[in-house]
Amino acid sequence: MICFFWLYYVSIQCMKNTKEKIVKSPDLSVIKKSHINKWVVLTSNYKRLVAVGDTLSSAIKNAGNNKSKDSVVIKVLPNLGYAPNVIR
Amino acid sequence: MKFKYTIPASSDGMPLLDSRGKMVRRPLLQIILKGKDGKEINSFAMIDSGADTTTLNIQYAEFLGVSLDKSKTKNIIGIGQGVVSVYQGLLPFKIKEMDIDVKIPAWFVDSQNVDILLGQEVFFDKFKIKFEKDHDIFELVEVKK
Repeated sequence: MICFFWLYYVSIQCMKNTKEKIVKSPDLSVIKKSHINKWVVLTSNYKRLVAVGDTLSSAIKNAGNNKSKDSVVIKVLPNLGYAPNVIR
Repeated sequence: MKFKYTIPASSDGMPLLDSRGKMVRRPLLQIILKGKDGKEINSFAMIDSGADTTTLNIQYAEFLGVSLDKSKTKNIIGIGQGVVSVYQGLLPFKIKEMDIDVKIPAWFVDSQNVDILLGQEVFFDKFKIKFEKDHDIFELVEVKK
């Protein structure tokens, strides 16, 4: 009986270990074409745009008190393909 | 730890497509940068196995308190048109999901086309990086030395 429970416990632990966490990708759809080449500050769940600025410092400044510790800052790049060594 | 590939921002419902008509997805990693005043910002860095060294926008230098020494400039290609001048410095950051602190050499560049690109130098020595594009996943495993 003890052996049975021990085997059960070990198998449950093995299943837990094999079920690896995969970090979800962020949904950045709140960022629009009008933000290209600007810096944006998003809430930590990426659902709301907190501030926009032409520079990193101005975006942070514009966020003011709306910026939390977990806010996300992104430099919005042109919506083009990326390849090193390709002259744009 | 495994991460899903990310659809780039600013698509406005018109996602960037590859030559097969599939949505472009990139290996973006959420990182935490600590500013000179102790304040932190979360940002995204793209893992770029084609880049020799980590390259990031020059505007991060001010936030990080990195002094851009003109004697430590270097010319690179691959960003913008032709040869581009960059400032050499260090980038300390934390990988948010893994809670690991990293400090790597970095090039600061004045370009509209660069946010943060995690290149090979040091970063690829510190982590085993496995791109599983066929599963829409990439994996980072810290190298224990």
